[in-house]
Amino acid sequence: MTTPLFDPYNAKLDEPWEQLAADRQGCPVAYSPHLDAVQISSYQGVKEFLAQHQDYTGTYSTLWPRTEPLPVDEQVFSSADQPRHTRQRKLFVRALSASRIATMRPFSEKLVNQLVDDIIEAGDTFALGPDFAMKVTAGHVAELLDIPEADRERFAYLSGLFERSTAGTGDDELIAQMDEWHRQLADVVAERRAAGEVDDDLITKLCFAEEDGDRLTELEVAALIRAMIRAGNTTTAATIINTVHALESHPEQKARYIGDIDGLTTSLVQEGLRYDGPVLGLWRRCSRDTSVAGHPLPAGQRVFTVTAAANHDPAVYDRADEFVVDRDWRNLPGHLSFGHGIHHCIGMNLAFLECEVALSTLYRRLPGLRLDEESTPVQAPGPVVRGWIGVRMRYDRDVLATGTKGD
Amino acid sequence: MANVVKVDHDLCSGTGHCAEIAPKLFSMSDRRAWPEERTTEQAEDTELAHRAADGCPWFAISVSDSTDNEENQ
Ligand code: HEM
Repeated sequence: MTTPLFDPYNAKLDEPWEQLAADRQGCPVAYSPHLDAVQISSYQGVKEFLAQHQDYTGTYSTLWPRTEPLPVDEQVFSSADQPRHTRQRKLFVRALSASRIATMRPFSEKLVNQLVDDIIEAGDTFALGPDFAMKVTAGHVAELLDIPEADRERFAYLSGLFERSTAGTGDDELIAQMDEWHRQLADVVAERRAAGEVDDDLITKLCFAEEDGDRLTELEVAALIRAMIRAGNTTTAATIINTVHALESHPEQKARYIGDIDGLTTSLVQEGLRYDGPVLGLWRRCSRDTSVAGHPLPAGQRVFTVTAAANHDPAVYDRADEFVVDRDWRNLPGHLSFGHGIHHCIGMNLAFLECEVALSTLYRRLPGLRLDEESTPVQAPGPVVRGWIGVRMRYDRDVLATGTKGD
Repeated sequence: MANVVKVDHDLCSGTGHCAEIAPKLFSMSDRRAWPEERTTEQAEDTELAHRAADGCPWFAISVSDSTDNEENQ
């Protein structure tokens, strides 16, 4: 077989594992007419390609198969190449480092318990995305940016809007609200700059970071922050949702997890990311002649790396197409859900914290948690994301004894 | 004189890029990378150490050359 079967624009499969396995075995690096790109689907191939950052560019966007590069102003993070990319990334590493994010754990636990309290208050079913996962991510970002308490609800609401805006449902009200969000962020940036270098929160740091004696403009700071929020919110919410979905589809694994929540949460999150992480694949272009796994790739060639296929590669993981909550991740090669190389996810520490606290708190506090019988989740469209939409959960509210509320 | 390779553990997130690029210079434990207890006197080690530093997504690795000769960089 030389032509890949993967055809996400025609039929986005709920369970693409067999189709991806066929491509990975039959043609791990091959031109796909469906994607009009060279599709890479083996673990080694994806990793090898991503490691060669001198040979590719993200400036045509990694999320869309564009035919023209993005305007320079819009080349941020994933869609920026060195040296622009290095400058941007250096501004963020300390604020998102493992040591810094570890200090957010008490906040994280408080927020998530509050959200579960709200769920219990509201009734015996809830929408996993809007009522929980999206609030988890928006709440963490607001804390990271030190948004004043009174503005957080509006901030959370507004930061969720861009997902609808990229889904192409851009009505006038939505556009007006997006503008409001941009202004809110720009105002916060202006205030922090006016306050001087007194705090060490991320926005203040960005305001005063110097680049060859120049400081970033307020608009540049706001644009970088927006890009960070865009990269982090949907992905983290989808990781929580997809992992719940995987647990609910594998009752014996769910039972094992519930039997040892303390011991298994770390490996559950890793396995959720490996088995059904939020990034199905990403686009890039070769910036010069190169090769991957011995296959020549000419300059200008569009490439699609299939993260989900790489993560299910039996050359790397036993029972690769199975969801197994207690894998020994300390002794396994890392999955590629956070990417690899210079663009490796900068939010991974925050994402782990959010997912660990969210998943463990949900399953610990809500007895009999399960998919609502009425719930028929569907996959988000397109080749870039894996995400279950419309997941509704039910739990045994009457079993909740008094005193199980978080404090 | 030898080079000094350091990992800033405030920044390191333990993704292991360095240990893959330069297995003889770095090892992983406790979710962090640790420079091996060895001096990087050979030119090829210096080269490797710089490649690992360039490949670190967290900019957590520093290599200081204690030679004064700039051409050694
Ligand atoms: C589980 C949740 C997450 C997943 C699966 C994820 C996945 C990824 C992946 C695959 C990349 C690499 C993209 C590429 O190859 O160009 C990436 C980059 C990035 N992520 Fe995440 N991400 C998550 C959460 C977050 C969070 C919480 C933040 C920030 C608060 C964040 C911010 C970023 C940024 C800024 C980049 C660009 C890094 C660069 O190009 O140097 N991510 N993420």
